[in-house]
Amino acid sequence: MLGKLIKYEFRATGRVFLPMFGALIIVAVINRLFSSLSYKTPMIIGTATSVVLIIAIFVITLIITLQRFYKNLLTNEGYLMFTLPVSTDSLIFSKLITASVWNILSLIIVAVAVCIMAVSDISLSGIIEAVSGFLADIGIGGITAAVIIVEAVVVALSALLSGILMFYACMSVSLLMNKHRILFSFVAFLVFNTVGQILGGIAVPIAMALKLEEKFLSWDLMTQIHSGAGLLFLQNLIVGAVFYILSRFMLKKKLNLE
Amino acid sequence: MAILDCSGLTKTFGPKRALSNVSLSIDKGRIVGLLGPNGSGKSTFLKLCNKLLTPSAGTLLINGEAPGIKSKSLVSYLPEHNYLADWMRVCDIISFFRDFYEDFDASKATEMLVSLKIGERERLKTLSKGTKEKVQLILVMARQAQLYLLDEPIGGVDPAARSYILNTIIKNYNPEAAVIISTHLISDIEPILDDVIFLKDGEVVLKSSVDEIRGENGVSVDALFREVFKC
Amino acid sequence: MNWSFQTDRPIYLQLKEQITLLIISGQYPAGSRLPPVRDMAADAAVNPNTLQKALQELEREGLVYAQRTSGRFVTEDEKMIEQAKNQLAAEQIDRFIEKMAGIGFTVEETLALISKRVKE
Repeated sequence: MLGKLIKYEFRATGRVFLPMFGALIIVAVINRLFSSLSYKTPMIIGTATSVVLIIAIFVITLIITLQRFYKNLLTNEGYLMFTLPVSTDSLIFSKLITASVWNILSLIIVAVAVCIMAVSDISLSGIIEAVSGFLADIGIGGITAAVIIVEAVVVALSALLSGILMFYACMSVSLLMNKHRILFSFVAFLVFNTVGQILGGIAVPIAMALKLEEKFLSWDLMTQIHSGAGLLFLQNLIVGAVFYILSRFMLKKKLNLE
Repeated sequence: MAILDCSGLTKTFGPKRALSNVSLSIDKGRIVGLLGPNGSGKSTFLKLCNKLLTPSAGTLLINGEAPGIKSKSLVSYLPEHNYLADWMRVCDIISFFRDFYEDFDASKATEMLVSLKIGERERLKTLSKGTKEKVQLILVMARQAQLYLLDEPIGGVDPAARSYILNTIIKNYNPEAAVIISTHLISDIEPILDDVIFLKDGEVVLKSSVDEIRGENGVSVDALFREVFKC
Repeated sequence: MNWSFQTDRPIYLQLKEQITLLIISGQYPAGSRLPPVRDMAADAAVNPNTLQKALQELEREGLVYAQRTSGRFVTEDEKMIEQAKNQLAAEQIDRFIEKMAGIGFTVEETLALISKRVKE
């Protein structure tokens, strides 16, 4: 059933994303043509358009990530979704997976558009060369470099997932209110962030007291990078799990559609 | 055998009791009217049966099990609200139902769409409120469910469509399935009911068969309702 | 067929009377098969269980009979239909006489009024 839910989730969101992505790529290509012909005015208009489009893509990606959860599950559409013979887990995961894919695709499309428009030639192989060159400069190469890149991707992915789950949790706890649910979701967002900062604020003196900092600095660079990445990943995992469990509990036990 | 069984079912919202100590048993093959004025707990009861709300106290069993994924595949529920996403076409929502409900009969749905003159290619956004309600009812009635829970199925449609809907319920009758219809338009649905349940302020004040009410009191259910709920 | 129901009596009794009338008047001829319960119920816009109950009553009285696989039939016994016809007539007459008594006429006066009215 998860597969079917994801299928419909993509169908519901693809009709917004695909035209938007198409528009950005077309504008980027036109822009590139004008810039190679050195026409000033169309180039400025083209650049402005693409900047606006890029900002729009990021904003719309965020809005749709939120809206698919809120509108589809917590408003009238919830009457359909929550009476389907599927588990609450499948509902949350279908939203999470689809939203993550679109977030990643948005980044990739924007990167591709920037590469197309860039005056000097930037290609994927060029970027890889630059990154590996940078890593080589600080004395890392070959397999180690690949491991670090994989680590960075995994950490970024876990951050994305836990970030989306935090938004889901904010919207889910608004079920406690009978009115002003959107407003309450914003309040929950502020509260969660404040709590996160307080926890971070507590963690620092504890780490200092345990002399973790000295220990960390005594390690060599590679160990520092690996353990840092591991720590970030673990943090995202725990935070994500907490928000997932909270959302699941709210949707299962406190559901109250208007 | 009872398809729906509840005892001491209670739902509170803060200090407000929406449903209070409701004990009922609905047998297969019955068409039951859940009658009561606005705010008497009809919708709350149906939402509890669909796990859209969690009971504050009491037990509720559908086909012998607590509401969950399994009961959701047996229950066909028509909520009061329009739950259809605007951007979909009628055919999209048909294939959605076919994908998720094994008991959904798409050819039956198509047949009903044709007789109500609703085009499959139409976008839900362009349909009137009444037509959307009809689409939803078609989706619900095209399932071969064991329990139909219909919340105000005839509230927002014109009298011609009302007859069609009541006819659909009769034609769809299955001795293995039960139908619960919540409404305040009693005289319209009275002839199709076996039993009635009167809800008042979240409590069951009467449970009887239509024949009994007419035979013993010599009045219609509609008249009895007006008497019980006199303002 | 126009079905109509009054609000003060059980619907199955009214269904029974109206089906009897259909049989007597020959719309459902002797020995013919009755429509399936679901179709008949849909036509009358009543609950299939209620219609079932009405048909079972008629079965008990012998006006219709059920065959296990092929449905329900009107009795082939013309005499029985005739009897039902007479009984219905008797009921109507009784009711009429009662009403006339309510207005203030005796049976004889009522009879006289009827024959006078018919001649007109």
